[in-house]
Amino acid sequence: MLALEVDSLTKIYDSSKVLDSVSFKVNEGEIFGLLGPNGAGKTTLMEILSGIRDPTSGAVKIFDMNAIKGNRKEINKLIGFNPQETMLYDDLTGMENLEFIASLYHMDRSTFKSRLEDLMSLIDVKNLLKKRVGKLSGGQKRRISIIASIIHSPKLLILDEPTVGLDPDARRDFWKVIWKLRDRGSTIILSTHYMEEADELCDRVAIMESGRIVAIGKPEDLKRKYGDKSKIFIYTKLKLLDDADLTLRGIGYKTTRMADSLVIEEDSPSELVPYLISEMSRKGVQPERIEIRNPTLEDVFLNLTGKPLVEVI
Amino acid sequence: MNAPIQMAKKDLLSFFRSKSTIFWTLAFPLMMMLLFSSMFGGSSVMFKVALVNEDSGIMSSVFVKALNSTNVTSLVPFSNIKEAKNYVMNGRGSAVLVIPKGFSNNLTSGLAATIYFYSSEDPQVKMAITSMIKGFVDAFLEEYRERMFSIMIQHMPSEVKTEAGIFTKEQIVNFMRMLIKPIDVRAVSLAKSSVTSKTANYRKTSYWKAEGHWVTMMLAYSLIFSGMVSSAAFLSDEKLWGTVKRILVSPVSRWSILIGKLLGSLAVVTISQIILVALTILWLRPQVNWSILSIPIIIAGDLASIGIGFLVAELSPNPKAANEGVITIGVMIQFISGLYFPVSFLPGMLRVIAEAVPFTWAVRALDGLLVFGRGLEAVWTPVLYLIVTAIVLTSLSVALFPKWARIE
Ligand SMILES: Nc1ncnc2c1ncn2[C@@H]1O[C@H](COP(=O)(O)OP(=O)(O)OP(=O)(O)O)[C@@H](O)[C@H]1O
Ligand SMILES: [Mg+2]
Repeated sequence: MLALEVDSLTKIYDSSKVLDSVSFKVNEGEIFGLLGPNGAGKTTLMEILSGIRDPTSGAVKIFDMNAIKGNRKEINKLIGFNPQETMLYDDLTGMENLEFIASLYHMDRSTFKSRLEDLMSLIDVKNLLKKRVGKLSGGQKRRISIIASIIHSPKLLILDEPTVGLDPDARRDFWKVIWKLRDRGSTIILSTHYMEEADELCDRVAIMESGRIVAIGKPEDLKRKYGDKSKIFIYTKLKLLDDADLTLRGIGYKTTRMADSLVIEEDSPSELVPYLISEMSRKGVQPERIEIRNPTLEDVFLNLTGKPLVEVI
Repeated sequence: MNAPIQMAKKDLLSFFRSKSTIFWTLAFPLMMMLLFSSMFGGSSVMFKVALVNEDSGIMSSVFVKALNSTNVTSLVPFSNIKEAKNYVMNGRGSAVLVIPKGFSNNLTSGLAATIYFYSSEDPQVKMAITSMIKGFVDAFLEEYRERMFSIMIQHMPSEVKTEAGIFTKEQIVNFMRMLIKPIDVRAVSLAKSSVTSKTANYRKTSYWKAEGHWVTMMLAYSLIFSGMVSSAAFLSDEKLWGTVKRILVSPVSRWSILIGKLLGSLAVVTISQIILVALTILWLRPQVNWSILSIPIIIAGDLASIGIGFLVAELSPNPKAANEGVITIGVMIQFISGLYFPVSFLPGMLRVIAEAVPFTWAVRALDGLLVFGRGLEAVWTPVLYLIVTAIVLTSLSVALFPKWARIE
């Protein structure tokens, strides 16, 4: 069954197309990523899916129910949405926030308690719930915010940049939460501009730019199709670099000479590396260090759009 | 857990946690009460009375002197009636008092005298000043009778022979005293009986009567200001925090949201009224004619005020504008609605606006009950006007709500 079906969704603000005929489908049980730079239209898209904004045109079906002009009440029971900003009441404690949000889903106290306990075993908020949210750090708020979005065990979870502001450990913990929720049967759509997050966490990824989906598929497929070849970076002592270059060319590899290294493009680098080492050692130009760089979604984005995903400031 | 109730509970909790809220709902009205009660030295409002004294005799000057010494009125002399009436009609004075030629002469030669009294049309002022002047005249006359009586006694023969027999002077004096004053309420006072000490008694009476207005002030302040400020904040804060998004993605209906906000705001008003009235009672110990009829006024007023708050939030481009807008409107209304001073003190145009504002009617109705002890007749028109206003405003805010509940 399809969890989500988006058809030619367009949103126009003051004559600029923020979403330009976006179409895609998400299967039930999938973790689906929206990857794109600032202003690509991720938030706009997710808020339309959540029923907060209206599209200019196009159709959305959620679990086969019409989500644009249909009965959102039924759909809203099934979805959870985590807004990009944390969106909690600063004057209330974490617990008061969660109690209130649970009440919006007509949850009774005991269900609330057991769900919260369950989620607290996945997300560490132990000492945070008694404090007023306004006094917490950005990352601490985000954890509470995530719990708030999933407290009612939604079947479709829409998360807008859920890991912004989390430190790397917390981010990986969060991935585990997502996997666990998926194992329990949830479908998850999340946006991110961390390419490794899209790559490792998501089953499929849609790459967005200027309101359009420029590519969609499994991360490996995207990388294979649009990414660069893997690169092997070979570092030697500087005075040996010329000899090493000659050696590698001698055994038939096309090298690119960098300031402190030689680069070879290769489809399956890990098989080649032992051979290169032994050949170089035989010629007395042992490498100091060898680095393999596999293609990333970053390259995919760059190759597809001609722009880097994360702008270098 | 019921969503509107939870919404109201949550809103209340965060409302009373904010310092600026505590200031506006509780500290500010208490400060105003302190300010106004010290300004008027604990007495009721000073009324300006235009005095046209056409009489040049001794009695009229005694009368004016006594009236001046009450400290409840300040007399502004005018030489002709027309000017004096204009002074009141322009809203500067509260009443005109005319002492016609011959006033003294009549009184001293045993004839009835007349004075003319024109009061402002403001019912609140009219009632207060009319009862005050009447009270004063009663006190004055009592003193006058006493004096006339004692003069008569001095000139009376010791025995009077009639067909019914012989009456002693004592018998006649007692009989006449009974006719003048069948019941003598003796105020136990160490002061020598005089015109001024009688009027001092009167002043005390008027003072406690007006005290009820402090309670009106606290009740009306909450229903006007706290009602609209809290209801506007309850909507616009959701946008400010962005939490409106969480509410909109939940299965809660738009109705539940609005009803929750309404309940929260009603609770804010009721809680502040209880606190403020309790503090007023403890602090000033006012004499109040408590009346259950004030409840419909309060509820209808609350609803009208909450409707304004919702509308301001819905029509404002952003939460900051909503907050500033509702505070501006709220402050303006509280100053023109007769909360702190009578509407008749306002300059012309503002007075017309004040009369059109339903909250002016609420203040007047509350005063009618709590200060003047009036009944249903003082309540039903204001309540009707407030209910109509509340219905119009809340319908408008309900109509605009779906637009508010969308993110552009
Ligand atoms: N209410 C609005 N009115 C006008 N333009 C808007 C509005 N909301 C968003 N936009 C525009 O739409 C475009 C897409 O915005 P959106 O927030 O969807 O991007 P995003 O991909 O979520 O970016 P980010 O990574 O920064 O969150 C931006 O150019 C933004 O300026
Ligand atoms: Mg965004």
